[in-house]
Amino acid sequence: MIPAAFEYVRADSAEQAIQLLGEHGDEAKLMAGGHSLLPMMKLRLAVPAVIVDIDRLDDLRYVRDEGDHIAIGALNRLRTLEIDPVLGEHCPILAHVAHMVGDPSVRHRGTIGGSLAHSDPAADLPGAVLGLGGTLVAQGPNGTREIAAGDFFAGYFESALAPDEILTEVRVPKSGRFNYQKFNRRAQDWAIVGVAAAQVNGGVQVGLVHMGSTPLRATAVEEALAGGASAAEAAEHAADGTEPPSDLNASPEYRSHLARVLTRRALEAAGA
Amino acid sequence: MMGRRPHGWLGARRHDKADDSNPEDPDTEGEHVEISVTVNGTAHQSDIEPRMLLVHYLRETLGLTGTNIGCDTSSCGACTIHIGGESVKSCTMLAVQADGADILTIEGLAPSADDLHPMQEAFRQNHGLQCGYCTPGMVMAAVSLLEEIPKPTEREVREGLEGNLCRCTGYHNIVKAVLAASGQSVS
Amino acid sequence: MTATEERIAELAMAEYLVPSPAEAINLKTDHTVTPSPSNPLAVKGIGEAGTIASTPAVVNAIVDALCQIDQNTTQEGSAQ
Repeated sequence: MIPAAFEYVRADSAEQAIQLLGEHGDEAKLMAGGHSLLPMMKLRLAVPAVIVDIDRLDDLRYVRDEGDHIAIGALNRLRTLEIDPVLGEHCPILAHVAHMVGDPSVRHRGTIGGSLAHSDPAADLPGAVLGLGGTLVAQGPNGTREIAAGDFFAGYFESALAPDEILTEVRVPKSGRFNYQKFNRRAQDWAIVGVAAAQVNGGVQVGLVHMGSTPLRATAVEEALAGGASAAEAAEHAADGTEPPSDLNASPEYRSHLARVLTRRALEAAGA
Repeated sequence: MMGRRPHGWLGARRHDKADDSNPEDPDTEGEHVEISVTVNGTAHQSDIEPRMLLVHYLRETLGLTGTNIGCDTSSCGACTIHIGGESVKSCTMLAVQADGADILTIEGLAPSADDLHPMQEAFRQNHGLQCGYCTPGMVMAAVSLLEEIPKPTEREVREGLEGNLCRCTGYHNIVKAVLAASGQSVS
Repeated sequence: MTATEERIAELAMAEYLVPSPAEAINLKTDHTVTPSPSNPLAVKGIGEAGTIASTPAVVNAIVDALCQIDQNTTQEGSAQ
């Protein structure tokens, strides 16, 4: 319940945060809303020696229509994204998925950057951003770089961010009709399996939640659709290439079954 | 949460238990930080460890024990308070993160000792509690919900309170109370 | 709740499934009144007698749902 002791520093700019990360190296973790990191620290699954608080960096809180994509500042609260009109018009799946995370109190504090950097395969936003084929912008001591979503979620709770990098922006393509199937026992829980489907880039793209050690693109499903398969036929491929975990809630076999059923529902509702 | 432990490296120090002889002991009291917060209209300045959770600061440093702790995993919502008018789970926030914030706890909700807040009155009239342990958090979450959705449907109330667990009531009268507080008649 | 070997598997509220308001349903409550014949006030201890009916009510609802799709589930033999 009580985290291990740590040193606390508050950054007043992204540059200062990067400098602090550089100084403290492996011992430091960034904290924004704290709703991914702090629960782990309370259970002592995470014991950083230094916390660099970036929650006050308000210049990373914007949503902009950049023409061919929507640019979302990494420190936007999920509540902001739920109700943002630009997102609602141009990438409604992301506004909806932000609404599906946790509960209202969590959404008042949690940030999209925090959720993505945490890289939990069972989290909703990584699956949706991956399904959209988004781009993550990271800033480090040597400048900024763009990381494709497919490369960003590198492993189990492991993003492609270097220890001295901060995620500053999330870019998603404009997308249309969508559906997000989140299967859980309780509304506030993580997805046992989740399927995010949206009309984007001239076709339908699908992201899978909790079907592996990272969020996954359902490429077999997308290829089947592109080849003329119906939603039901394409959904049969939902578990192809996945390695769903086993836990208290589901066996791998049940997760694979869920993926197929939920993908069919998501595709049909998204108009695939 | 417990069944889904990450295997990766999430911190540079790993210790299985506190050890007095180890200078890197994670339970050695860390260097303090100073925070200024306004709670229920009163300004406070305190010197605390960075790792102190906001809920512990409210309960133990300020003596405001109306806010309850019901779990270890940010699930139950018994610790719900308001920051800037929005509901927040105070167990999932460090007190130092609240530096400069305007906080409202259940103790600050009623306009006066003789005058209940409409949400409190609605819970009373509709028997929205039994043991009362979830109630402070439930009331705070419900007040925040009505700020965002002034006339919610029953489904919106149920989903709006998804972060608050109650073991006693089955939520039936809680939902009734929130609908009543919103000025809508209850079917 | 599940037990693995000799250990409860659900270690925290995040895993122990207390339903949230979103899963709970609207309840319709009613009363049965059977005055006790054994005292002038006709009162009796109630404890939480109302809860006894809740379990068979839930089982009956599940049976009612399942017997429409599974021939082997029948109303006879379900909880009274």
